[in-house]
Amino acid sequence: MGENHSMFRGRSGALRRIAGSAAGRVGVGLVAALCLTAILAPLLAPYDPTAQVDIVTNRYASPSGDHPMGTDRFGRDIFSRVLHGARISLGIAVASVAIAITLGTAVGAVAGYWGGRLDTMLMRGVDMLLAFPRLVLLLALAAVFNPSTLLLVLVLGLTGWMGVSRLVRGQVLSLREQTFIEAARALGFSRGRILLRHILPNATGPIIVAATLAIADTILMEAGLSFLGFGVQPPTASWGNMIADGRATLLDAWWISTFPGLAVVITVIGFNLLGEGLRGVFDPRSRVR
Amino acid sequence: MVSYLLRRFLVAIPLILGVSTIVFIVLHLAPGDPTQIYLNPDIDQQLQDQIRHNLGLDQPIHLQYLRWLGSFLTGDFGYSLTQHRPVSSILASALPHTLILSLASLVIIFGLGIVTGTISAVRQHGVTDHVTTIVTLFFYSVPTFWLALMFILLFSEILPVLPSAQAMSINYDSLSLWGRVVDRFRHLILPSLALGLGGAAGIARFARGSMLEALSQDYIRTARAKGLPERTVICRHALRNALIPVITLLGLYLPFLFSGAVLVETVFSWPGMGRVIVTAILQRDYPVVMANTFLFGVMVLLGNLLADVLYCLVDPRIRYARRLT
Repeated sequence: MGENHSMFRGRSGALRRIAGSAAGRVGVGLVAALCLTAILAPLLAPYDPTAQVDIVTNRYASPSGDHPMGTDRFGRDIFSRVLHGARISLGIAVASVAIAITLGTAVGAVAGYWGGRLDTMLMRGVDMLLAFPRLVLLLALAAVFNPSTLLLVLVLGLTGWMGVSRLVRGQVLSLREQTFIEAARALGFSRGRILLRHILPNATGPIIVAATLAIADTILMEAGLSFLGFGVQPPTASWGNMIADGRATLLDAWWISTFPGLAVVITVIGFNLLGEGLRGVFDPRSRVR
Repeated sequence: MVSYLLRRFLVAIPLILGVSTIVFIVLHLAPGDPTQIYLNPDIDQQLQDQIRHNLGLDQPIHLQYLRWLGSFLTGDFGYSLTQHRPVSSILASALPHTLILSLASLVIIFGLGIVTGTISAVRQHGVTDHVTTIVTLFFYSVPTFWLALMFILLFSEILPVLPSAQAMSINYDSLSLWGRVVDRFRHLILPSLALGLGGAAGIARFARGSMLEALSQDYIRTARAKGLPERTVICRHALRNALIPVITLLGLYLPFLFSGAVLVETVFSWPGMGRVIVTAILQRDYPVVMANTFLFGVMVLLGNLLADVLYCLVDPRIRYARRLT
């Protein structure tokens, strides 16, 4: 945390304000550390994540100096796999949340600004999709096509935008009644311009908060899907499929499932705290007392 | 109130139809059809075509949908393509298990969540509050299926006190009535905790905020000023008002709960709908997947209706306002 601190004193006011709360500080620290881990995974990992080093003597090795988190049934180093898993999990989550946020913002903005029948139709559609346990929807989508990482990103994005669209719609509905929007309309600006240049920029705060919390949520969903075998496919290491991998030998080799799970917990905690910190920045009233 | 609820119910019907339509389309966009699972590819092409014809799989997709919708509205969920028995009988045996698990989890989610949140709010900034905040953050962020595995590791291996799989013991049939109840209950503990603790943490966080809000109101100061015991102030005055918004979360938590149930049922070999749908998707058993999906959707929408009813009952302001409009 010490070295992170100088970062907050810089130009960025937002970062400094997030650092004002303990939760925000821990969140920023965790997320920064995770991003570094994901980027530097090949340098940090002591072994190749898919290398099966000496399967006879080295499989199911319990945690030790050589293998801080032990090895799995192929003698692969769990620690290296957890580090590389950070790349996969974070990459998938960030990419699919980007899709979800874009789609959700577009639908929400159009529904909120145009209103009328279009609004009713779009929001009915959202209700329809929301009536559905997300995992069931994901399973249906992921299982009917051949599993691939790209598909996973797409289906996670396509099942994650509904909440965002409701949020954005609410924001747009309240913003469009403001006098500065009326002024923009009086100046004869087009709907598209008012929406893109005047309304949406004022709604970025809540959207960023939602995006951060959505990353936490998506990491959990991806882990669940991969655990069931419909997500990231072996031998690529993802935290979810590593947990699934250790399930059969849970009672004899507890470390195979335990450590990737802890990685998920730490990551999700990081993004949840960061989201809370950001909410405090953008909406001071909501700050946890 | 009745007309309001009736309106909500009528809105739910097109929602359900929409949801099942989406699933139907998605499933049928997939390459391959269910006969590929159990037909030997070497058998006569004519026979294969005959089987597809008998199952109606050679018809255009919109006809398949209409046919399915028609029989479905008359209560016929069709026939499982892989288990060779009616879908309704599969669901009938799975549904109670999922309902038991979900209800037990809901009790944990709301019971534990509200109690924890209230204690945390009353002891704001105290040690209890800080500890609870950290613990709830952990459970809020934990993947249910991993928690389930850790529970198995802890409570049926290291400290072998609870069963780790199935909904009942093998010797269930030979147990006395009381023995059966105990047996069911023991099997329910770990799955419902694994499924419920995450939600309980969420409710605890929400209830804490809601309770702090209520405690800062003027009527609390009045209650204290007239010398009511602190317990009465908290339980009768603050908690009652703080709980109203918590009820709305019931509807919001259901989809989340069922998503978790799919994973928890898989880990604990719990014979419920989650396991049925996972198996059915793997086997491309369309009728089972669709009926199951539909049922999940219906349960979520019914849950939302229930939340509406409870909200109306608990908060007279809502009842009154809705009557006026």
